[in-house]
Amino acid sequence: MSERLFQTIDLDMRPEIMKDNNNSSNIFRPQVGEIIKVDRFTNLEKRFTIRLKRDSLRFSPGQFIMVSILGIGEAPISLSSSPTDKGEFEICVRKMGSVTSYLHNLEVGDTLGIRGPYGNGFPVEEVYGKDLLFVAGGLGIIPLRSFIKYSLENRDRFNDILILYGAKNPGELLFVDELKEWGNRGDIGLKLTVDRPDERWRGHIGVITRLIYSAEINPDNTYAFIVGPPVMFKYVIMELNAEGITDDKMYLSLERHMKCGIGKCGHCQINNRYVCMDGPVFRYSQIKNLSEAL
Amino acid sequence: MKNQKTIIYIANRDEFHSYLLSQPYNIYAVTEKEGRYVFADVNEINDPGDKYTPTLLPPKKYLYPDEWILFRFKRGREEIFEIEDKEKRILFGVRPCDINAINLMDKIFSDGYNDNYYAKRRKDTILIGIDCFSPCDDHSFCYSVGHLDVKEGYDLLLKDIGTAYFVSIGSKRGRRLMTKFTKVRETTPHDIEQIREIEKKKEGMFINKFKTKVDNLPLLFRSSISSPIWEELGERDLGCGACNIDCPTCYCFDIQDKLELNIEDGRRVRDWDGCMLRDFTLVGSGEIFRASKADRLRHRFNRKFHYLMNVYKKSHCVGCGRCARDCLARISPVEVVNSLMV
Repeated sequence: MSERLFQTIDLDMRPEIMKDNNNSSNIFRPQVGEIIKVDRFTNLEKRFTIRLKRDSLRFSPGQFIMVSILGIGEAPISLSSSPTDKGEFEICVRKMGSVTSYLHNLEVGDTLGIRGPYGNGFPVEEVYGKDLLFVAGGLGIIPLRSFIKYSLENRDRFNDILILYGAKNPGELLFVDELKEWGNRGDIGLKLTVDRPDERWRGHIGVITRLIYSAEINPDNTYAFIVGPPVMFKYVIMELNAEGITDDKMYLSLERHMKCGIGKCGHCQINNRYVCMDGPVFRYSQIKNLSEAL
Repeated sequence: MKNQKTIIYIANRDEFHSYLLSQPYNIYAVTEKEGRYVFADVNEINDPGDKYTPTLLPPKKYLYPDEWILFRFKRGREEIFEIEDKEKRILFGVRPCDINAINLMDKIFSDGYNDNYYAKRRKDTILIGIDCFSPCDDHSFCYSVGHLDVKEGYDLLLKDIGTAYFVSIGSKRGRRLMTKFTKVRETTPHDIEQIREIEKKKEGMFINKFKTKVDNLPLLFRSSISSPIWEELGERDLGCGACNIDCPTCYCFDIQDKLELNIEDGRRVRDWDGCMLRDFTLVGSGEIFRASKADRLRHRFNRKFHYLMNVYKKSHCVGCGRCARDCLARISPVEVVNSLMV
């Protein structure tokens, strides 16, 4: 009892949050960005090239930003350009909710708000010298493109590179001009597949796992980077396992509802992990035992 | 270590109340409302003493208000106007469970990205606690989760001994407040004996208890991820999210833009949100990652007793019992923990 009554308190032991030198800036205030280019890819997807008014955005492949439209709200959006493009960056956005629909009405010269970059990104430097296998389903190509572009710009830092990309139909493939370029390079592999071909489609047909089955993969030196709709992950992982790629050599980027991007709002939690802080990129072996992950 | 000192006074109750009311702070204290208690803006202090039962909403509403304006803006011009929050306040009569909850929030909001909004309010808020001598009612279980006593976080902690308060000082700010108040006397051995007698009985008075020690909870919850209990509770659960709202350690939020009637001016606000609500994990494609009430209940309980507890080494449920007291489906953490023990 005497302890309870006479506990000594160090009067300077205030929690970090109370210390006077803690004059951090406003964590929710977006910076102003200006749209300098808009490309329409499909009826639903547009690419926006953006420049910050005051600063340049430094980020790594796989990170995301919060895009803010005053009066409409904020949404988390993947960065899709190479981190080496100085001064500007790209996002590719499907018209889905209120923020993205509003964004689709913006034109060159219009401004918008940007917070970030947030999240961990892909472990780019860890895979120098390795074979890279990119598996993109649908919009999954958007965050992967940032890493793909970086790896092509720094081709000598990586061994074999193979890109597998699947979409529902040929009209939904994004970055089509670049796909042609990648296909013609000769120093990387590119395979495309669609579920529902049109009469002009000459590529593969069917689910993306079939591309894995037909690819030549050296499992000992390969790291796989997988981004796609939730339903895709399990099957791709099973197929990669069958090829001999172990769980610690697969990286997934996951999507969750997100409001803050900074580990506070609670929405993006997968069991005890925050997608915004611990992810969005996870090594598969890190999350395979989390019941809420896949 | 010259700051290490415990200072204890005896202060006359009524005189101390008048003194506080004369200070340049807005005072929020426990007040009766329709047979229950709430924290409210007061002109006089009438703490219910040992009749206290936890307030409908915890005092988090002052440190982390609902509909908290992050900034105002003018549409189209990307103009943002930050708001200066000038209020200095005293929260009077905060019980140990709620002070412990505030201590947990302090860590959450300062970890990683420091939340400047929370930090400002916390700095501008003096916490005057009142210690409990007995369980407030049958729903409280602070003893089971290690939050019966409070060791830090308050500026002053009072022990109500009838006409006087036994005052312990917890911060420099608290010390300054007490140096200006002269109606105090030093404690005598008799005072201390009196307090000690009351406190001795405290722990034994809890009937609402976990059947396991608090340190075992993370393991218990980790191993109960696929327990059928979650489905059973999910059947009963109404999914109303009241437990999120009245929990002193629930802090999840939504961010929304709200426009004035001229549809040009607006404000970006942070609203209380709750993991028990269905849309909490909804993404653009329509997918809901915790679609069943069982999943959501399991998540909420794991947050309190497993995920956050592993990080901060303290139960993130402080045992105030608010969630159970007002749950229409009568779901109580004590029942949940004890049924997982079986």
